[in-house]
Parts: sequence; structure tokens; C-alpha cells
Amino acid sequence: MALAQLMLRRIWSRLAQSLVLLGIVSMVGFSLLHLTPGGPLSQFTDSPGMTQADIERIERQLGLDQPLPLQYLRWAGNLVVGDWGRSYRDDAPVLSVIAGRMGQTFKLMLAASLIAMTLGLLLGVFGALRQHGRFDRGATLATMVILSIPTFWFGLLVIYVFSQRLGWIPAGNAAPVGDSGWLVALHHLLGPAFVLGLVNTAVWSRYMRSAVLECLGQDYVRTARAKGVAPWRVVVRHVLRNAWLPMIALLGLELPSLLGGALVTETVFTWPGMGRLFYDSIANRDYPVILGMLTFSAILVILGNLLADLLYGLADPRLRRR
Amino acid sequence: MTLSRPPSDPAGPAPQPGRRSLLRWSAAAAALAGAGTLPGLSLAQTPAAAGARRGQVVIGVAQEPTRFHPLQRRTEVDDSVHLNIFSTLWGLDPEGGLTPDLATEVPSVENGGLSADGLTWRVKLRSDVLWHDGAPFTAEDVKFTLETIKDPNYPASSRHGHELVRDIEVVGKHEIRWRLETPFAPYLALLAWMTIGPRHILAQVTDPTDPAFNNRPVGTGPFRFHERRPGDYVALVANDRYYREGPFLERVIIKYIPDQISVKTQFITGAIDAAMIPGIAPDLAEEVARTPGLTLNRTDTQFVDMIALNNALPQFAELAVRQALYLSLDKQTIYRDIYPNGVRQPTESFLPKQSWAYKPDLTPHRYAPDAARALLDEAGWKPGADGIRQKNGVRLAFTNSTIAGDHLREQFQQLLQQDWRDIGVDMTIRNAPSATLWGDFWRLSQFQSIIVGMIVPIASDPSPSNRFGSWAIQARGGVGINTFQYDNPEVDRLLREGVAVLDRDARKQRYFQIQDIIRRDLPFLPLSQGVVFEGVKTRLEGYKPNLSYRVNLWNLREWRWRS
Repeated sequence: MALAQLMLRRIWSRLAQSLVLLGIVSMVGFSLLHLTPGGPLSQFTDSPGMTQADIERIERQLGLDQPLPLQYLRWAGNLVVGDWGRSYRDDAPVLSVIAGRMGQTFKLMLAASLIAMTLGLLLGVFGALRQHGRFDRGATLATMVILSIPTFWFGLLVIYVFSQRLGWIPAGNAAPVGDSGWLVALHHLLGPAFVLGLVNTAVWSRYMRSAVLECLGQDYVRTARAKGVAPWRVVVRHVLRNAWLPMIALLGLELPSLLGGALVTETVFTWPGMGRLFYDSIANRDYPVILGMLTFSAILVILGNLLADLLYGLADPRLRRR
Repeated sequence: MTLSRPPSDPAGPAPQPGRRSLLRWSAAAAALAGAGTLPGLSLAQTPAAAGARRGQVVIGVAQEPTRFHPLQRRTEVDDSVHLNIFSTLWGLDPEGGLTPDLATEVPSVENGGLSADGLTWRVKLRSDVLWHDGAPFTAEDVKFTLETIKDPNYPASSRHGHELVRDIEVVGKHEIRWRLETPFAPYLALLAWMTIGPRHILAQVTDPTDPAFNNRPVGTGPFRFHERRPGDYVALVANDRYYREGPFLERVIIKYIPDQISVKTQFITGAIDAAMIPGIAPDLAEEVARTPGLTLNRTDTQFVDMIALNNALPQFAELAVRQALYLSLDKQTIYRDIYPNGVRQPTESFLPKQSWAYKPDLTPHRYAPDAARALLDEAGWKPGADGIRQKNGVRLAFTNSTIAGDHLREQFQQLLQQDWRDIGVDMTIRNAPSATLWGDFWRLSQFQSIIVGMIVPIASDPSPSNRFGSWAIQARGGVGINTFQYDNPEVDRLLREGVAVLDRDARKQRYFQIQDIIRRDLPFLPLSQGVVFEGVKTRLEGYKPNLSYRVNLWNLREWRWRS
């Protein structure tokens, strides 16, 4: 009961702080966006037949002729009542624009995260257990190479080798038009998930390796070994349970990226997800969508951190006692 | 509702490594699952439709079509949808001629559709046209479209030309008449771009920005709108009740692929059947051309590349300076080293070569840096201590801008910088993203010099009134896009006359004179006419470049798979 109360209080306090943070983020985002040179009207300015009167009329219709603080207040006020505005590009409500892309991004990022976590944890643990051994050196070198390669180039390489030369995977797209089968979708998922997954594997394995190494040097591990506990049991019961704690923070940070998308991979693999939506919206200065996505990302970061905090509390008995 | 998947190329196997490997994958998965059939793996191809209509074409484009409202057309890629789901009164053929579409004939003085002074218009319409929802098309739809575009409160993208229309009157169910306030010759061509909207639907909508129609448009064109997957594709299906010949395809998918390398790979691997808008990047064209089963078309565009000068700046005010800059421009080296394979065609005009008003014998450019130096010396521009010329306290120094990241143009700028440095001119590179350049920076002439690809004709009409008329300088409160701030009373007069006479030869004479004057005055330094590499599978027929439209997807009703 005490634990539940503690948790609830913590959640409320964090949520209250988050609201303030959200307000600041939205204000900074809004200001930066409008300070950026150019604007949504640039797509019309050199269109044959457009006149100055046309430009001014569109500016008025989009509400862009109003003073900036007024524009912000109007936008923020609407946001509070659930109206996130409409995209300048297709007039669709921002929330439905975002929702329409989230599914594809979630699918891609979940697959990539599963690959990354599984491979990363295995590489990290085994590398740490045989520190400076052949496996550890090999894994370290491989992860360093992957981390150094630009994702854009890595993606193109995968497409060139596995799609263009070998014909094993499609050259891109979430699925061929009209095919909604899960196996077809899975087939299309292989390339981008593999590329993203490997890049993240490198990150996860480095963190895990450090965490395990740190735990291996702790007194409780030495004590367990001295007591004669079986080596695998020492690793599973004593090392991994403690090494997992820093990973929880990383897991919290994964939430925004799970729904935030991966711009480069999505572009190279023609994946219609959130990353590309963000890029297209910036290129077209689609203010409502950019602001919507910034707000959405901020909410995800806040929720991810909150989740990590809560998980920490559950996983680490020391925190519960504080 | 989702589409079942018809064959991309029903006539024969296309290179589709994705599909081949998919079959291998599915076989492996089936073996693992111990099952004969896998749910969701639907590779069954629908049988070809009766008659000649069959198959699906997937067209890769680098921008995303988002606007499907016939009266709110915006970007060029939107045209790829508009021109195929909506109809116009008449269309433009690849030679720039007008061909009737919803109208039974193109109005002219000879057939009585136009009064001799060009002010009264009478248009007869087809009586066999149905909207995609089955409602009949009538003259009321045309009246509604014109009146809506004219309405100052309506968010139409442009009212150019339409603002002159007065007294629109429906004469009969299939005949309409109106009057122009003043003669305006380009209006015939402009109407070839005006897609007609359905009155019976749009008149009921109280909020003109209501996205409902945009997301489910109803037209009279050869294809019906099926669905849009944002960020992915737009699907069109054949209109069974289309009133003209075609379409010969069951479905057309306009697929958004933002990265040009991905466009090339998907084209080579068979994931897309055509690569358009803008097609294959020039440096990737050779690989595509080598691939069997694919045809690469080297197609002219209406874009003319130029170095636009801000003529209001003291550096550019003098003709001798502009001439010297042009003389010291080593065009040949640029085309040999930066744009090989004929990606750019040198030009001296602002009009594409295909325009009926293009003047082919304009004074050709010559590279003569010594002559440039002599010109500047003569004009009193003397080199200062730093080698840069100056006159009356004005240094011959300016910035040059282009789209940041356009690596070919950026290389071009570096050559330009060297060429001009050699004659004592200091050019500083100041690049920015598109959204920055083409806003106020361009519109209100805040640039000093800028490399720009410009389309001057509107529809097929060559009138450059809104580019060179002194009334079109927005920086001085004018209406138009004379961002050069070019002001020449003689050109103003010729521009006015050019739109006021209907006879093509008489108009041509004026536009020839304007091209001569502009070539002499050099408000911009003309560079080249653009070329794109558009690819289609060799078995796919119907691709026809047409410079009168912004995209070469204007005639999808004629596209078909060769049997």
C-alpha cells in the first residue's frame, strides 16, 4: 500500500513537472520554427500564375499574417482542447496525419529494437565475461565499425547487395501496393529492420558490456564465487540482475524512438513512417504538423523517462526504501 | 477497402527480384510451419479486364501528391493526379496545339466561339460526360468552377486570367458563354489548365477548406481516385464510363519515393514501372540505360536555368557590367565538366526551344574574358588595391545563391567565382535551403544574384508579362514575379500588345522583339534549358513528353502494356 502511494505521488509530481516542461518545449519549438528563414508560402511563390495578391490571400487564410505571440496562443489554446490543427499540405487534421504514420514506424522500430536488444545484450554479456578475449575483441571491433558507418550508406549497401545483386529482399517500401499479407510485410521489413537493428545493437552491446564489467568487479560477486556458487548462477542471479538496471534508462529512451521514427533508414527504404513525415513537413514548412510532432515527441520523452523511473523503482529495492 | 494486386506487367515477367525471393521465403516459411497455404500471402493476380484494359502501373515520383481539389491545385506533382481524374475544357498536345476535351470544339473566331475582338466566348460542351459518381456533367459545372475561382474569398491557388471574366451565362444544358473585360490572348491556353469541379458536390460544402473532397475527389477524367496512403502512394482506378478513348490500364499507382538512389534501385529491380518527376538522376542514368527491359528517355523540360541579377543594385545597374559578366562566363567548360551527357542545353532565351514564340537566332554567347575586361575598363570600373574593380565608391562585389546541397550547382558556382575573379569581380557564395530561397528572399528581390531554374510560359502560352513587366516587381509593390526588378518601357509596351492581339503571328513578332531586347539588356544571364531522364519499362507504351504541362503524366489514359 505504501509502495503504491509512493508511486502515485511520484507519478503526479512528475506529471506536473512535465506539463511545465511541455509548455517550455512548445514555446521554444514554435519560436525557432518561425525564426527559421523561409516559410510555407515558398512552395507557391514561383508557381506560374501566382500573384502577390494570391500570396497575401493564402497567408491570411493560413493565419500567418497575425503577430507571432497571437499565433502561438491560438495554437496552444487549440492544442489544450484537442485541436492540433490541420496540415498545410493536405488539410488533414494533424493528429490523423501523425496516427497514419505511427503504425509503420512502430512496426519498423519494434523489429529493429528486438534485434538490437537481443543481439546487443548477448554480445555485451559474452564480451564482458571473456574480457579482452577473441570474441570480445571481435565484437568490439564489429560494433565500432557499425557505429562509424553512416546509416545512409549502410542502408544503400544492404539494398545494393541483398536486393539489386542477390534479389533476396525488396528494394524498399513497407509492402507492394495491394498486398497486405503478413509474410509480405515481414519480407519488406527485413532490410530496414536489419540496418536499424545492427546500428542499435552496437549501442546496446557497449552499454551492456560496461554494466556487466562493473558488476563483475563488485564485492557481492566475489562473495558469491567464494561461497562456491555455480558460475552460470553467479552471472544470472547476481551479475545480470544488477547489470540490467542501467539498461532500464536506455529502455526509457527507446520509447520516443519507437514512435519517433528513423529518418535516414525510412528515406533510403522508402518507408512511410514518422521520420519521413517530419522531414517532409520541415521541407514544406508545414508548421502545424512540425509542431504537432515536436509536441508528440516531447510527450514521448517525458513518458519514457517516467516509465524508466517507475521501472527503476520496481527493479531496485533500494529506491523503494527511500 | 484495399486493392487486390493486379500484375504490374501482365504481358511478361519483369525483373522482380523482390517477388522471386518472396516465393523462396514463403516456401521456407511454409515448410517451417508445416502448412500448405499461408494466411495473408496473397500473390494471386486478378485476371486482366475484358478488352484491352489490363494491368497496373506503378510510377515512382520524388515529391508527394497531397492536393486533389480541382480548384486548389498547387505543386507540379499534384498535376499527375489532377490531369487524370479531372477534365479540362480543352487540352494541350505535345506540339502546343489545343485539343477539345469537355468542349466539343476549341472556340475560335472562325467557328464563332470567339468574337473578333476576343472579348465574347461561347463554348459548346459534350453531352455524354458523367461524373465518377454517375451525375451528368453540364454547363452549370463550368459556371460554378469559374465563379468559384473568381471569388476573392475562395482559397484558389491562382486567379491569373480568370479575374477578367464577366457575365458568365449558361445558355443551354451544354453551352456556356462569358465575356472578358479586356482582350487576353493567353486565356485560351490558361483554360487548358483549369480542371472542372463538380457543382453538385462542391456547392453543398460550406467550408471551402473542408478536406473531405480533397481526400475523395470526384471528377470526369479517365481514372477514378481510389485511395491515398500518406507518405506512400495514391491509387487511381480506371473510369469505366470515360467518354473518350481509354484508359487501357486497370490501375495507376503514383508512388512517393523521396530518395533518387532508391528511385533508381526500385526501377532496376522492378518495384516501379516508371520513374518520373523528376525521374532518374543524371549521374545514375547510365546504369539504368544498361538495364535490359527499361527505356530511358532524355526529355526536355520548360525549365530555363539562369543567373538572375538584382538589377536594382548599383553593381548591376550598368549594361557594361552585365555584358562583361556574361562574356567572362566559360559556358563550354561548365557544360563539359559539370553537366556532361547533354544534361543541359545551352540557350540564349527565357523560353523553351519548343515554344512557338522561341526565337532561335538570338545573338550567341561567346567566351571572351579580354573583351569583358575592356568593357569594364571603358565603363570606368577600375581595379582597386585588392584587384576588385570599383567605380564611384561601388565595389564590383556581390553574393550568389542557390539551393544548398545541389552539388552540381555548387560546383558551377565555384567555376563562376574563378571566372569572375579573373576580370576583377568578387562573388561570394551564399546558399540556403529551398524553403528559405524561394520565400521573400526571391519574391521581394532580397537576393543579389541567384542561380534559378525558371518556367516562363503558363500552360503553353509564352507571355512573360508577369516576369518582365515593370508592374510585376513585388519589391516595388507590383503584382507578379519580376524579381529581376527589370524595368524597360519598350518591353512593357510589347508585353501589353502581346496579350491584347489574338493572331499568333502578330504575337510571335512581339515576343521575338522582347527576346532580342532581353538578350541585349541581360537582366539575367541565360544558361541552359533543362533535361530530365525519365524511365519507363520498355513494354509500357504511351509515354509522351509534353512541355505544355508541368508533368509528363498528362496522358495516362493512353498508357498501356504492350501485348
